[in-house]
Amino acid sequence: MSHETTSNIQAVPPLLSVQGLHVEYRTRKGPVRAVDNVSFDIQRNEVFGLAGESGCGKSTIAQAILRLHKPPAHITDGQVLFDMTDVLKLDKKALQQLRWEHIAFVSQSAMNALNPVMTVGEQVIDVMQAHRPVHRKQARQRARELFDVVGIDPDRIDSYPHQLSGGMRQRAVIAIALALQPELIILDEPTTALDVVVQKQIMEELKQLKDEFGFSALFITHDLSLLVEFSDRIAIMYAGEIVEIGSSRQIFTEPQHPYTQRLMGSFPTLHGERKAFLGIPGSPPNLLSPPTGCRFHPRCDVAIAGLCQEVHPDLFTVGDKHHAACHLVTEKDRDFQQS
Amino acid sequence: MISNNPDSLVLEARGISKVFNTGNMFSRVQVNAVENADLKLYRGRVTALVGESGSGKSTIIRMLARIYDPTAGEIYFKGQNVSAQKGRHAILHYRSLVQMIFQDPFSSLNPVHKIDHHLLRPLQIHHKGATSKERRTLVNELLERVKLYPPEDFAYKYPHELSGGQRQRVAIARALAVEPEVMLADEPVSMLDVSIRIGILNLLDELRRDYNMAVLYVTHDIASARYFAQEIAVMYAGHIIEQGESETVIQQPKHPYTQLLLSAVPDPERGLKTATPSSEVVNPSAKNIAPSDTGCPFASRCPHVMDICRSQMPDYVRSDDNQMVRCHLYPEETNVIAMP
Repeated sequence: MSHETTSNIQAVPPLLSVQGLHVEYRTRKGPVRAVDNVSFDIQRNEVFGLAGESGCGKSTIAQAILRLHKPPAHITDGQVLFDMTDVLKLDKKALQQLRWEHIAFVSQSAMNALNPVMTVGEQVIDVMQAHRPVHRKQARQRARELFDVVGIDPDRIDSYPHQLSGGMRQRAVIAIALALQPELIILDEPTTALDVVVQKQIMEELKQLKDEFGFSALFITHDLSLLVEFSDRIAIMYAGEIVEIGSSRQIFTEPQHPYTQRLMGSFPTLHGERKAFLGIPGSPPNLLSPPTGCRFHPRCDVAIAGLCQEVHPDLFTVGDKHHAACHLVTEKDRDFQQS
Repeated sequence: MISNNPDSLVLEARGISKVFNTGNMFSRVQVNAVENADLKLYRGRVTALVGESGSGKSTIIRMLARIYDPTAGEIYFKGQNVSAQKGRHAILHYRSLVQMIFQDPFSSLNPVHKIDHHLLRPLQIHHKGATSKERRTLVNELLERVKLYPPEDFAYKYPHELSGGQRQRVAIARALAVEPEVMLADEPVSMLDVSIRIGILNLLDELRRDYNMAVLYVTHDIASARYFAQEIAVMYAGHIIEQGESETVIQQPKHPYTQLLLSAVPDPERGLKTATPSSEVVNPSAKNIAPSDTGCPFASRCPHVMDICRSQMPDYVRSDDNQMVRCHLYPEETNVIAMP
C-alpha cells in the first residue's frame, strides 16, 4: 500500500513522510502498541488532520515526529522523513535545530507550557535567540510584530502568562511557534481547552497565517467537525492504527470504514433534520491486549463473522488517494469486479 | 411558553443570584457569578443551559441542587418555596426529588468502594426497599436500567475496572435510585470519548421518557443541546440572555451573543465550500472582555452596541410565542407589531 501512495506523488516529494511508524509504551504489564505501523505524507502547504478518540495514538505520533516522546515510550520501527532526512537518525544537535526552526509544536496544554516567571515577550525572544544570531532589540521588535499577527495587543509583550486569558496564552504560544517561520506546525488539540468562540477565532487566524506564511500543518483533534472544516486531508485512527485516509471531502461525504461512519454519526449538527444518532456501542479497546483481526470488530455492527475476528485488514484503495482498512470494502470491491 | 402546561412545571428558579466573595484580606472582590436568573423545568422535558466556561451555568445547576444557597431569589418545587426550608431533613427530602449527575465520572465515584455500594447507599438513606435482599434486587434493576449487563458482574466491580462511559452510567443509576422527579446533569458527557457521548445522551433521554422526569442539561456544546433538549437557555457572564424552544433559538437566534456562539460552532459543510468562511460576526475586540457593572455584559463585544446598552441591562422581552430575549435591539413595542 505504502508503495502505491508514494509512487502517486513522486513528482513532488512530501514535506513530511511517516513510514511504518511503530511506538510502544513499555509498561510493567507488557508493551502497549500505541502506534502500530502508521504511514502518511504531508505535502507542502497542506493541512493534514489526524482524528480519533483519546488513547488512539494520535498525540503519540505528534511527539514521535519530533522525538519528544519520553520513556516508557519507544519508537520500535519506522521512518520519519522530513524533507528527505530521517528525523529518527538525527544527532542531538541536528534535532535541536529541527525543532522550532523547521517543525514547531503547539500542544493542547500549550497555554500552560509557558514559563510563569518570564514575560511572554521574553519567551518569544528566547526562542529566536536560541536559534538565530539576532540582536535583542531586533528580536523584541519581531516579537511585537508576531503578537500583532496572532491578534494580541503588542503592548502585552511585557505581561506575565498569568495576566493573560487562556485564549491569549494559546495565541502567545502560536506566536512562538511562528517566530522562526517553520515549514511544519504540529497542532495537537490546539483549541480543545478553549471555548468555541475563542476556538473559532484562533482557527481562523491560523488559516490566515497559513495563507500568508505558507506552512504545512499536522492538525490533531478529536472534534471531527472542526477537522473537516480546516483540513485538506484526514486520517482516522483507531486503536493505534490508521483505519481510513482520504481528502476531507471523501471522509465527510463518503466515509468507507464503519468506524469513520459511526464517528461521523456521533456529532449532532446545528442544521438539517433532527434525527436519532446512535454513537458507537462499547468502548475503545485496551491496547495491552488489542482485539485480534480488525481491532474495531467487537464494536462493529457489520462485522463479517469468521473473517473480521481472524484476519487483520490492510488499507485498501477505495477511491482517488482514498484508503480504508476494512474487509467490507475489499469484499465489496471483489464482488464489484466479479460482476 | 405555549407548549408547556403550567401544571407540568416542576422546578422553578425565580430571580436567583449568586455572589462569591473572594480576594484576600486587603482586597475584597465580589464575583457576581449569576445575576437574576429565571429558569423553569417541566416534567418530561429537557432544558439545556448553554454557555462558555465561567458564564455561571454550573453555579445555577448547583443552586438548583441546593449545593449552594442563592444570595437572592427563590427556588420553587411544584409551587413550594424550598429555598426557605433549611436543615438536614429538608435537604434530604429535596434530594429525594432532585438529583444531580456530575461532569467527571472519574472523581464522582469512590475508588475504594464497589459499584453496589454506590447504589445501595442512596437506597438505604432514602429508605427504598424494605430488606437488604430487596435492595440487592433494586441494585440489579438499576444497573439494567442503565444497560450495564450482566448486573451481577458490574455490582462487584470497582470503579477503576470500568471505562468512563460505564462509570457515568453508574453515576446515572445512583441518581436514579431515589426515583427523582428532576435530574440535573452538569456536562455529563464532556469528559467522555466522542464515540460514547451520544450513547449516554440517548440513555438519559430514554430515562426521561420512562420516568417522566424533568431534566436540566448543562453544556457548552450547543449542537448536543439541539439534539437532546426541547428548550435552550443561553447564558453569558452570569445572565440568561435568551431562552426558548430549542429549534427556534438555534435557527432564529435573536441575541447577538447567541448568534456569535452559533457562528463559532465548527461546521464541516462550511469547510468544504471553497468560499472563505464568514468571520464578520466574530468581533475582533472580543480579546478584551471587561463586563461593566451596569448595562449589558456583552456590550463591549457586541457588533450592534448602542448607547443604552452600556448603561442599562435590558429586561426580558418575549420576542415570539416560544422565545425570550434580553437585548435592547428588541424593545417591547416590536412584539406588538410582530404578533398579530
